[in-house]
Amino acid sequence: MRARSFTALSLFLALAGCSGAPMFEYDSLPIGMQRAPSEPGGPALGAILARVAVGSDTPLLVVDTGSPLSSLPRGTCPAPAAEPVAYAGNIQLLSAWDTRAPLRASFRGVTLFDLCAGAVGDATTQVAGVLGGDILHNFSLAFALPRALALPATMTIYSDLPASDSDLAANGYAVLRFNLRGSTAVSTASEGGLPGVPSSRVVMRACGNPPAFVPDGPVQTCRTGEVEMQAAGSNLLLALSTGHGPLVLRASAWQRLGGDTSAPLAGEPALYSPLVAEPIPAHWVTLSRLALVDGDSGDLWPGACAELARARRIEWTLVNQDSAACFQPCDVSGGVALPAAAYLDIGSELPAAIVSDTSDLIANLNGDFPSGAQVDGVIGTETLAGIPFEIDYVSQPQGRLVASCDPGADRQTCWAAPRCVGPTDGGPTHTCYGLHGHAPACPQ
Amino acid sequence: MTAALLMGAMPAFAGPLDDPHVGSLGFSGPTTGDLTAVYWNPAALGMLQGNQFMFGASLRATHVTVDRASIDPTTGLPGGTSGFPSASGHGLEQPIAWPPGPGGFFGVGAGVARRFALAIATYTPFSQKLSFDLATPTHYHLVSVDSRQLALVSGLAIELTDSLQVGVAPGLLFSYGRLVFDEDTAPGNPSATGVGSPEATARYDLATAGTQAPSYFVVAGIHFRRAAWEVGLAYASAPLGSDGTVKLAMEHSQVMLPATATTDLCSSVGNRPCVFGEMSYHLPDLFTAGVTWHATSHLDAVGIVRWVRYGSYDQIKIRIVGPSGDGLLVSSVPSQLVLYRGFQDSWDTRARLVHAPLGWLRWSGTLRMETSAVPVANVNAAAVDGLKLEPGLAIEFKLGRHLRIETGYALTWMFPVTVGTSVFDPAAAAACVQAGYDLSVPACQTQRAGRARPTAAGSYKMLRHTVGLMTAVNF
Repeated sequence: MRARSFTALSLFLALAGCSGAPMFEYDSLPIGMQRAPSEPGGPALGAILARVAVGSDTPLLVVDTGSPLSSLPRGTCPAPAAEPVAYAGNIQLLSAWDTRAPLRASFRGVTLFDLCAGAVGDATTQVAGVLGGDILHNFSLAFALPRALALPATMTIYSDLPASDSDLAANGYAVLRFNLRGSTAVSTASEGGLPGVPSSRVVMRACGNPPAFVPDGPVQTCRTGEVEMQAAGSNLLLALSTGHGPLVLRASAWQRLGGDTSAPLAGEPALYSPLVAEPIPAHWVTLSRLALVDGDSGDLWPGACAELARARRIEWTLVNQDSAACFQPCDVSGGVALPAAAYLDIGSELPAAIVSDTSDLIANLNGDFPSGAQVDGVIGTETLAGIPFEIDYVSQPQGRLVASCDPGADRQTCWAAPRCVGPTDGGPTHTCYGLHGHAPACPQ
Repeated sequence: MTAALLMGAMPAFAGPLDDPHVGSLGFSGPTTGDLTAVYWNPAALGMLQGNQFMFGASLRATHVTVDRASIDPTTGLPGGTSGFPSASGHGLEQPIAWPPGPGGFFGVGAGVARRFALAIATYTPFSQKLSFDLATPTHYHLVSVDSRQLALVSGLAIELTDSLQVGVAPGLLFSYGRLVFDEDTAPGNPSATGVGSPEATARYDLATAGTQAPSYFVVAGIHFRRAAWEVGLAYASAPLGSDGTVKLAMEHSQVMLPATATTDLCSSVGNRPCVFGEMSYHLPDLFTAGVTWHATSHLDAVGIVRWVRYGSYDQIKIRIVGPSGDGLLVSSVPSQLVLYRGFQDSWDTRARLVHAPLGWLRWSGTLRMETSAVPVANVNAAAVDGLKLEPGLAIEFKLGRHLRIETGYALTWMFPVTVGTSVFDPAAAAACVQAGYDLSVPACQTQRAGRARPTAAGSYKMLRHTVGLMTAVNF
């Protein structure tokens, strides 16, 4: 009996010791990163690059929140492979900003794919691997992406973000909740039957090309039932990817935004994406403005652009309440103003790459959810320059993107609007945008 | 038993200074059949006769003295010419406070059908309050701490046979805490040596907003009696469902910026609370065993041993989030901190004689000895512990058939601890900066573990007085 118990205990301990749980080591201090060109010939405001220890070499590695899997080849690249091979390996993340390449984070025993990553940004920026969302989604990641090329981009790894949504909003942060997509059952020649990758791709609701807003501008009226009618811009569904520089849109989304030509013109550079092996033909344009909006896709949700317009109308009313401003009927329920969604308003003239709806990149982004809402493109790091943000993957029940603007940023360049909580949410008055509101509802 | 959890929460803030006298200073233990069994050993509830109501309070005064060793002002290492004045820490704990203070006990229970006993009790088995002078040389380790743990526990005991009982007591643990300490914000600067430079020192004042959402734990025990002997064994779990980890949201926090130490991070947003923190740490589980020998009808001899598995308690992790104007990273001060503790398991043993010379009077004498939960090298102002001796006396009066009143006193004396080689290395912070925060460098591992702080070498003394009063009503 005793021997059998001992055997059982030994077996238990052996299994426990071989459980293969990944080991993460980091210090929650900023990690200096390099940037890839945002586009061929463009400024180094693109994909976030670290270095990775591979033997005695320290090649570049792209940190990409948009990649659902991580990869690091075990041999030389390029190497022909019939299908990807998954293995349990290590990523020793080195600072790419410090010439000494110090070890800044270690991810041991993680699932990696034996793939050659290729180029990001331009053809000359070759990376050896990808640190993807399947690893990154274990953390809360803070990014600082300065506009100035002389300053390093940084990524800081935290275990979580302790403040509540309401506390963050009270301190000026825009808190945008998101769902994760990108899970897939990977068909591989896996060693040991590793499972498919988890959902880790951050997908955000956005409004493309909304008009600029100034709170002391003219009033915007909106009668009951007109909330969607009064919205301007076009609703978008975008993945957040730190492995891309520009905003990337599929052609049909660009056309919804009123864009003219969507096909690449002769001589236009291609888009280099960590999600796709080959360069992607692209038409390069600029988007006047993009607003990321908190919200979901429920039946009653009016859409990102309608929520953005409502938030702006409510702010306008609060700013102008001394001039007898009132809340518009479409923004009122039961005589009080509805809550206004948090949003991050980014301008202006944002570089964007327009790619075909049938491109491999767009197919990749929607591969996990072919029959649902289709992802229209990617928010890259150049779009988010000058916007300190944190991707809190571990928040429950939804992840959240928490963003603010650099101090002194012009409103037309960056504006982080926290959720504006009205009286129906428990407070006697509005306390939004630094304003206290007592404004009445407008007559119908 | 529940105290195991609560004492585990305690080290998060200072030292393993749990309340070893929950319920009673001189009569409670794992073989005691009254409502304090909810804490000590739920199985002993089975000896409860009829209905019982207990309430009581204790007063605990702690005095800590820290004499830091002199240091070399250029390196911060011990052995130089820069001395420090003696630092004194004081703490007075009593139950009349909100959130509920320490030392209180309230319980009600009943024996049911001679086979079962039910009880519910609330108490604060763990707490600590200790404050040093603001300019204390201990400020990089601790300025002040106020930690209170409120347990709400229900107990059930079942009499399996005439001599064997089992019991279980699931409970909720509500935590409150405030921790103040200083942090050097310029590693490599001479201020890191502990000399103290306001130009580089930020003060972290982290506090919960009232009590926190509770943790869940369970206590289970067994009680056996035969002839003149009684034996009690019990186990208290660490918080369930969280791998023993407790997270405290520190929502009422402030960070005083360097240079002035008076301007806090929230001044830019109107000085309302704008810094939010989180503190996490592991709690231990605990085993308790007790034996009572009824030597005569008037004399009992009692032995109690507690094994507190502090070994899992290694560090406190803190993260703060500041106002948006300064960015999530709180760029001017560290946003994530690790405070090293490095505890070890401790053993708490006590021997007790209980004498009842009269039907309405009994008294007890207890000698308690507890090993240190903090290795000598790890001792610092925030974790003062050593081998402790504690003599105690208690007396109980029975007033009629229904009322008992008990009072007692205990003096806890810690053998002075002299830290020669401190685990805290002030040179590591600067060395890690020089290495570009390379995690493969030992200095950065030291920093990551929370040991890159000013040395805590010196001598430590602790003395505590505890006075208790308990009333029990049987009806």
